[in-house]
Amino acid sequence: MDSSGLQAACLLEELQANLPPVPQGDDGHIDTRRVLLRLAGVRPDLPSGRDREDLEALCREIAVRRRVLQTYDPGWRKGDRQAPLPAEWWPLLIAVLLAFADREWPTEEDDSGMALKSLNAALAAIDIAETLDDVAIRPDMRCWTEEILGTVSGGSGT
Amino acid sequence: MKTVALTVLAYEGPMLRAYLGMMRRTGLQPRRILLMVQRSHPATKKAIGRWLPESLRVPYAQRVQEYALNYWPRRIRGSHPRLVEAMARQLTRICDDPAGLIAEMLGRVRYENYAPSVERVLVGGLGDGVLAATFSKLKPAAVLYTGGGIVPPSLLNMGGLRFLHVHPGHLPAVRGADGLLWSTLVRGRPGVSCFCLAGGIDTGAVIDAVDYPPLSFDISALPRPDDQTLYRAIFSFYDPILRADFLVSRVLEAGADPAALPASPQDPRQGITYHFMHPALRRKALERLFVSTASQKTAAHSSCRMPAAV
Repeated sequence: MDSSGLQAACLLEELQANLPPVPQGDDGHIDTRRVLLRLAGVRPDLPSGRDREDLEALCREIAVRRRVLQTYDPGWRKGDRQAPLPAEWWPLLIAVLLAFADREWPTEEDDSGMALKSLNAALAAIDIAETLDDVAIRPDMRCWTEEILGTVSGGSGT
Repeated sequence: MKTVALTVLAYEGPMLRAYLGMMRRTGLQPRRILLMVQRSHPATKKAIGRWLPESLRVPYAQRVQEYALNYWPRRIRGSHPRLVEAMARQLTRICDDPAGLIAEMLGRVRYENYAPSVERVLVGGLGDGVLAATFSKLKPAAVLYTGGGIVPPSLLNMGGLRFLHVHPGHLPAVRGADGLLWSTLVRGRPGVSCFCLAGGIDTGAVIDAVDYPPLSFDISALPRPDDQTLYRAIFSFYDPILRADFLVSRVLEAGADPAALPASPQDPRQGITYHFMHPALRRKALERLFVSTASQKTAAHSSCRMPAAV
C-alpha cells in the first residue's frame, strides 16, 4: 500500500471508530450504514459483484436523487421507512467514495470510469452534506478531494 | 433528394437542426417531421397563448419555443463569436463546412424545406396523449428521437414502432448523462452510438457504435469564457454536429430502412451509467476540450495534502 493508500486506510478506520454500532439483524432491508462499513473494507480494490452494485446505487442516490436514506427496500427501492442517513455517517460515506476514487493512474478504462464516477458522487455528497445540519466535513477530507481532483486530467491513461 | 423511411419526432433546438441540416446537405430527407409544439414555455412553464384558438396558438407557440430553445446557441454566437469560430475550425475534422451548418442551425428554419410532410402537434410533453394518438394515426415504423425528456412506456410499447436515438457515448461503455464529457475524461475521445430506445437508461439494442478521434478546441488566442458558457457551447455545437454526422454517415447513408436495421442487445453487466457531472469534475473535462493558456494556469491545484498516517 502506498502512502496515500495508507492515509486513506487510517482515515477510514478513524471515521469508523467514532461511529455508533449498527444494530444487528437482517430484516430484508438494505441498511446503508452496513453497506458503508462493508465497502470501507473493500478498498483499495475497486468493488465487484454485489459491492459494485451497491456502490453504483449509492452514486445514483447522491447524484440523481440528492439524498441518502438509512434503509432501502431490496433493489435500492425507496420503501415505507424514509429516515435519512444519520448525519454522523456522512463523513464515512464521503470517505468511502473518495477511497474508490483515489487511484494510481493510468488504469483500465472500466476502473477509471468507476473511480471518476465515485469522485463525482463524492463531490455531490460534499455539496449535500454542507446543506445538512450537524455534518462537518473535515479539512483533511477536503484536501484529499482536491488532491484526487488534481490527478484527473482526462483521457485513458490519465 | 432521397427520402428515408423515417419520422423525425422534432423537439426544437440545436440537436434537431443539426440532424435536419446534415441530412439535407447529403441529399437525404426524412419522410415526415412531427414537430412537437409545447403548450407551455420551456423555461417558465407558463401556458403559451391559451386564449388563442388552436389555429393561431400553434404557430404562436412554435415561434415562442423557437426563440426559447435556441436562445443559448444564438447568445453564445453573439457574445463569443471567436469561440464559435474556433470550434467550427476544429469541427472540420468531423464534417465539411461546419461553419455553414452552424449558421443554418441558428437561422430561421422552415421545416417544409427538410421533409415532404410536416405535422405539428400541440403537446404538454412526450407523455401527452395527443402524441400517442398521432402515432396511432400516422403509424410510422421508425422514429428518430431528438430530445424533450424521457419517452414514456405508452409510446415505447406501441406495436411496430421503433424509436432510434443517437447517444453521445460508445455503448455499452458510456451510458447516461453528459456522455461527451465522460467519454472525454474516461476514454480520451468522443464516442457515438445509435440504439433503439427501451425502458432503461441507454440500455436498448445497439445498431452501431463508433469512437471518433480525440478533438479539442484551441482557444488560446481569446479570453477563456466561463465554464458554463463552454458547457453550453458543447451542447450547442459540438455534441449536435457529432451526433448528426454519425447519424447521416453511419446509420442512414447505407440507404437501409431504419426500421429494419439490425441491432444487437447490450450486455447490462458491461459499461457504466454516468450521471450529470459535478462542476469541479466538469472543469477537468472542459480543460481537456478547450485548450488555452489560461486553463493551464487555473489547472494548478492546491498543494494541501492529507495528514500523514499516524
